[in-house]
Amino acid sequence: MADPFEVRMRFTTLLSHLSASHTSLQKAAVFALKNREMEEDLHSCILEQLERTSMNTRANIMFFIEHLCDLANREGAVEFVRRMQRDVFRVVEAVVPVDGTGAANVRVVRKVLQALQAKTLLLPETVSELEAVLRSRDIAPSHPFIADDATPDGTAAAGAGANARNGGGRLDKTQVMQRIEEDRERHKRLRENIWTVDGDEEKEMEMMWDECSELGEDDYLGGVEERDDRENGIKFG
Amino acid sequence: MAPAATPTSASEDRVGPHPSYIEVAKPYILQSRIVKCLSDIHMSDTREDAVRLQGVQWIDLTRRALNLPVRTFDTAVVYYHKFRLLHADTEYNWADAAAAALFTACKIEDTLKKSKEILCANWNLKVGVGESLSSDDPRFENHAKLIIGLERLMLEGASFDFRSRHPQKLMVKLAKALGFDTHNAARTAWNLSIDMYRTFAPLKQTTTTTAIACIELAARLHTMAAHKFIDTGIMSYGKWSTGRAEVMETLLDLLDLYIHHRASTTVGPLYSLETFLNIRITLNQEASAAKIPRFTLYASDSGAGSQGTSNGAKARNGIDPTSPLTPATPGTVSPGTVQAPTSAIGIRGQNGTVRFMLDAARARDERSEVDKYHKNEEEEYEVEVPNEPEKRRVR
Repeated sequence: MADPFEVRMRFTTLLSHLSASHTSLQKAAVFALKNREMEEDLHSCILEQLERTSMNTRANIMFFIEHLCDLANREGAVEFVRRMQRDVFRVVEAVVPVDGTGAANVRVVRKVLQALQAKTLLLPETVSELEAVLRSRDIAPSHPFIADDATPDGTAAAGAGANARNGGGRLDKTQVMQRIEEDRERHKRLRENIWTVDGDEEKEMEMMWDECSELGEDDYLGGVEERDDRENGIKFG
Repeated sequence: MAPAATPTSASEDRVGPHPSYIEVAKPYILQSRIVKCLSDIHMSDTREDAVRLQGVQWIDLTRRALNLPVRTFDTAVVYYHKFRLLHADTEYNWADAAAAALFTACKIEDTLKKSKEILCANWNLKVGVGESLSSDDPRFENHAKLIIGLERLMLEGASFDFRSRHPQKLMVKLAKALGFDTHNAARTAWNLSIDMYRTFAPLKQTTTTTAIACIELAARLHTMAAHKFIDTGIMSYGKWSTGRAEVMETLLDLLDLYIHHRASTTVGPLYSLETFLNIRITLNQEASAAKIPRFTLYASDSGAGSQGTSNGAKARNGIDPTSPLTPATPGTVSPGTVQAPTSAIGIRGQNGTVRFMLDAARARDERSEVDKYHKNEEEEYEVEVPNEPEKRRVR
């Protein structure tokens, strides 16, 4: 049995070092599952890190939570899911705080909430309540680049995006760049969804069934071409 | 008598650059060639069956764990088969070949996966969640490099021909048009098309042949009236540029699989052995009545028996540049070393360039043109020379 203190330490390290890479999320999730008898402690670690780390890391933790809930659900470790369901408001509060500093994370939270709802890990009512909260935290309507009227205090100049979002405090440039990189990484992975199919065979065949077109000229022509190729191979092989 | 000119050895005194070896892509490899390849690398039937079934299963389970579509599976298995026809199985580990085939197929079918991810997915399948690793675990480091090294041999083995065939889509269209039930006959046909990759049928046949064969076998297994699916209506063979012989060959290949290796397939366990035997008997009767040959033969095979000892095989006693089968050096790899297998292509590559072509006709034309310059043509002809008067010995 691992030392609880060490487990907490290692988990905290994993969380604070989360990145956009799927591997880092997977590692942390598997670690949590391995130590599921300490799920209460681990859950408090998550909340702790959410309230202590940078906005970027909080976004990564949000994605991690989605991953963790999914894995926990599949492996029957429902305790993780239950705690998340209970504390979801606090989580959203940390990732998209009232002061507008987490405005860059609004999309992230929305996406994760919808994913969790789709997997029936969150109730639709909960999600719509949270959506309302998100809308109030989203500064997009008042952003100088997006809104029609420019703000009078002329903060539309250098670093406007960062300044307007922070409403005061400056976002570290390295953090901004890091966030851009991580978003790029996540978009790349999203493109995988074009071709990924559920491991369960049923889905792929059904998808093909629904999406395939009628038999047509192309199909017949393809047959003719292949036959000709094959016959050439037979003649000269 | 005029002295005869002694022929010079043509190959050694070559003037000019090496004409290079041309490796022509073979999108279709027929049964006789497959048998010959396997016997050339001394692969016994039982061993080959085992390696084939285990490898295809490896690929299938791993690709599902990675959420890869069936087209990647199709391509990977074809590469796996083609690789095994060229390399003696003492030179490599079949699981490595399966992983490399899947890795290569991922690139070709645009469903990219890192070699580490493939190895990790397979690992995680075998161990529980407690032991599961992430793909950047150092455990996979060296193994992943080996797989990447094998990728080159995979591509050479397929002669860099990236055209691949995927029968599933056509089969689904046919099933839909025929009104198959998605939960019954259509599902069976789909699973048959996956099982079919455990045989050599995908290397031998066109897309239409394989799709049609799967539909017909599904219909038979679901005790539907078979005659409705043989060369009639939507399934008319003329429309699909195929013939009863090819479809029959595929059906029998599938039935052989189910009769001898029922437990290693997806559809096999769902039906009794007797069911498959009965279908085979029916088809055998049809084949012998209509004198349908068991396997399609090459033009050079005709007149030979169906065993491997045919004229077509023996005639090649010279160096055949278009089909390298035995490596020039013996494959003595010590068990401890992790070494990529040598291939005949690689051996020839040391002596001259190996070029890969898709168009067989072009290769033939080039060869006949180039040969004019490289073959020394010897002509013998007699020349009359006046006799010199012999000196007489003076007694």
